Amino acid sequence: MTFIAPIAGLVAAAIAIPALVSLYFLKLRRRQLDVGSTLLWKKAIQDLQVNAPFQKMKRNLLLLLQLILLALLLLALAGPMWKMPFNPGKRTILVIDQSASMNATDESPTRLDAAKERALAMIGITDTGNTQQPGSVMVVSFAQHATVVQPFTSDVSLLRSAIRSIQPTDQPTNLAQAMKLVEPFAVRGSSGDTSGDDLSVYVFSDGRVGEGQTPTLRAGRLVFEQVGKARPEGGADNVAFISCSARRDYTNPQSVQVFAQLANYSTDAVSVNVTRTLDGQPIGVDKATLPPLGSTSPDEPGVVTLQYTLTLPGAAVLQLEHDHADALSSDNAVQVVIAPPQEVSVLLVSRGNAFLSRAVAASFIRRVVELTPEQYEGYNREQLAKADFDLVIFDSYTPKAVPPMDSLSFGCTPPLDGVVALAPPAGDDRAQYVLDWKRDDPLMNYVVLDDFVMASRTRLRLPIEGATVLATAEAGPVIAVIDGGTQSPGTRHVVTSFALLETNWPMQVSFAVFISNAMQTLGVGATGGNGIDFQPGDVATVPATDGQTLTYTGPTRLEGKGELGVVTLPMFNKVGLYRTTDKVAAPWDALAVNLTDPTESDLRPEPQLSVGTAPVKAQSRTLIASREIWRWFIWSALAMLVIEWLVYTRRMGL
Amino acid sequence: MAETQTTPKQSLLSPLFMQQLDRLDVMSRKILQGKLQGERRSKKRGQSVEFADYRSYVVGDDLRFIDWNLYARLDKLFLRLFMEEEDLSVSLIFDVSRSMHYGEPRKVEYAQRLAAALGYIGLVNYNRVSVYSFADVLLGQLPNLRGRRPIPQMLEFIADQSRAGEDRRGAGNLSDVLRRFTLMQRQKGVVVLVSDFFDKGELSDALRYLAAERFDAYAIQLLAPQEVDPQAGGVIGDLRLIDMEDADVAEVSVGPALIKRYKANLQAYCQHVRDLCRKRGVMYMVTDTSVPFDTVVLRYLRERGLLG
Repeated sequence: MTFIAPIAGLVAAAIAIPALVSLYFLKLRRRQLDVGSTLLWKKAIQDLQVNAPFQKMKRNLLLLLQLILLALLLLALAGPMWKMPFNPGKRTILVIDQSASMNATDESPTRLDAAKERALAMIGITDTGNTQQPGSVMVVSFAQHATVVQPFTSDVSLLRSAIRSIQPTDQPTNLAQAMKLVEPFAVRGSSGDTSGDDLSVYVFSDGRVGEGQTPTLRAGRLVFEQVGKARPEGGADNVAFISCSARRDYTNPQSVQVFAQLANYSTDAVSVNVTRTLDGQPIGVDKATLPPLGSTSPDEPGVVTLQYTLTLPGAAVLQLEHDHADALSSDNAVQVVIAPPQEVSVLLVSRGNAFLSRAVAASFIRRVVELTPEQYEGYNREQLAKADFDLVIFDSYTPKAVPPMDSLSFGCTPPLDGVVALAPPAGDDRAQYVLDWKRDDPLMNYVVLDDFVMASRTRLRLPIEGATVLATAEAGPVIAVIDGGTQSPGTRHVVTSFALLETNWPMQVSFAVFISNAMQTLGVGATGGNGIDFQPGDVATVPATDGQTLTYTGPTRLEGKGELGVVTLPMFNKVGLYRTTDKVAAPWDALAVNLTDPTESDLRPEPQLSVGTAPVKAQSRTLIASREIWRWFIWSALAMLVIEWLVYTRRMGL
Repeated sequence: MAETQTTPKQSLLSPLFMQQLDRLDVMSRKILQGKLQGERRSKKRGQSVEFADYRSYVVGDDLRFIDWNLYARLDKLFLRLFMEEEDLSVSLIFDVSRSMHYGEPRKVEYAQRLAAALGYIGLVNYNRVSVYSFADVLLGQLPNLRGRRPIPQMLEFIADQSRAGEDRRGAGNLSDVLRRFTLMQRQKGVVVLVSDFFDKGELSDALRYLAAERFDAYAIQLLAPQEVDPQAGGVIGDLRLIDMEDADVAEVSVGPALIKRYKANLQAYCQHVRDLCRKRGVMYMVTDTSVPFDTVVLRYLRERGLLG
């Protein structure tokens, strides 16, 4: 039971109770009267008071009743709230968050365990509270993806074992996935109708579901069961690596630039020692002082950027780890697998484009071979694959088949399904500008398209899936990257709707930057000589021969079989380093998985969930529903008043 | 209280009432031995004019009582025996303690008038009358009065006792009083004890002393009307009751429930006294002072055999 206004109740109690007691114990002014003997009077009093303990109680019975009456009124004044443990409907869905932030140890032992305990307690209530018609309960766990751990059942033992089976993960939170999973049950209703009123969805989470998610639940009652202890001073006891990248210097491939960001979510400045290890060998320790939460901008963590330069001729695993003991350990270290330096081999298919040739040549490449379209078509797919080209660039030439390697096309598109470069409508000879571009894509890094003018209003038509628009002009998408899909597995193809010579782009710096980005990111797969790391929830594809089985061991065991030239491993659940002893090209013998998720590292519990349009506030920390029960106290006080009146009249014989 | 001090002894008994009392005598359920010859037939054979019996002469008998006529006829010596007439000892013990000063009329006045009436009856019938007053101890005694002449003395004594009792403060100790009385009164006779019996000691111990063979005891319990019905006497509400004898305090909130309980207790207490008296062969009578005094004397005491 909690109180809405406990202070007011306490103040009133501090005044009223001593006043009542002192009033009661004030001597009654009695009329003095002489009698022949008090013998019979005392005997009469004794007869009314049966025995000594009861005598005392009875003497003060009215006081006792008045104190109870007063206490009830004061309790009512304090606004008591009864936390109803559970009010199961016919159907209940327990949605349990198993994301990375649920591993925080601010609840003992972890938030996930606390959530499971509370869910188990709820199951206990369904077991005892509704024995006539036990409610059906379903258990869903979610992190990056949602899973039905136990379909609807009223078998308590099944439900308990299902809840206990939920394991922690280091994946990000995706409540929308969970709501999508729950939605059909909410809409359908138990009896086939569409009311869904009999459905209660209890979400056990710390509320850290990330921004940009719009989970919806169109029917049913949603209750947010908040897990995690909010610190009174705000903030959270966590220092986390929120990003890490390693990149080889283009001019000096042996030099590796390492960037990492450390974030402090507590309200105090924190000093940490960051230890660098390379393949398990410590190479340095640095001290970093992190500003407190909100020091740079409100509600934002204090961030320190760490930057190192390593000389690393070959592949290695770099690990950064801080020594601050906090509530979440999975974000205390990051590991990056640094691939050996690799230079791309480029095949340029063109009828002659000096701008393009020079831009490619100026990039950091191993070799470039220039072919005319006719020469290119003279090679078949196998020959091209064996020719060890990492990237093919088509300049205003549409190849007959999708190349077996990454490609970059200007003014044409490889015959990928659904990808068409559309010419402007007849008679429309207007030029167009780029309206927006995806600045955070590696291909568009430092590419500024403000002054980019295209002579015609061409645009791209793209498939629904597998395509990412990199730049959009007035007519529509003009630059996009498309997965090779089944036509050319594991390849990426950058297409543009415009021919280079119909734009002013070759004359601008951004073109050289774009070509350089393309040389760094295309053709080299995911390696490119840069650091490789994954996040929990990611799926890694490792180059391998068909039929080859790869087994990685680490925090969990991952196994996959080669198919179409790659091994697709199961989703990463836990952070850490996964290694394989199977035959695989470097740097794929080690896979680093890092949390680097500011949302998960921010352990401050959210007081409410935004589901649909209405935010759902956390109902309670320990129990589910709260109900104001001051009326009960008022009724009890009235009953006590009646009892007191009866006692008084009985005593006085009125 | 002031009235008691100025009460003339004559007011205890009016002449008219005395005339009514002249016809009464103190009756005894037992035939008791007196000291002097009196008007009462004794078990002893003695020297009265009333013939009782004959018995054979034995050596040493008074030759004056030999029936010579019978000797002449039977040639045997017989002694003539006559009824002996003795006086009756009447002891009147009345309570003048402070509790007896309660009520309207006050119980002590009633007790004084009772003692005066019984003493008067005893004296006019040539009984040996002894009068005792007591509070927490025996306060006064006027023993061995006989004949009409000490009647004024007795009335004066009785009238004076109430003031002496009023000055005493302390819990009553009836047991000690009666113990001392029995030590002083060695004579057989009628004992009349007048009190309210509101004694905080053990009453059965006290009445034990009246159970002696030589006493024909009567216990008269007096209650004030305010004790019988406290509500009528204004005992209601939140009160601090003070015991007139020992100043004991009882803080009570008197309501109908408590009054009811009190009345039940009073009844039970009177029954308790009655039972104790019955066990010890003491005749018991209770009356409240609102009952007319002459009714008590002329009717109730005659009905209970004390007067005849």
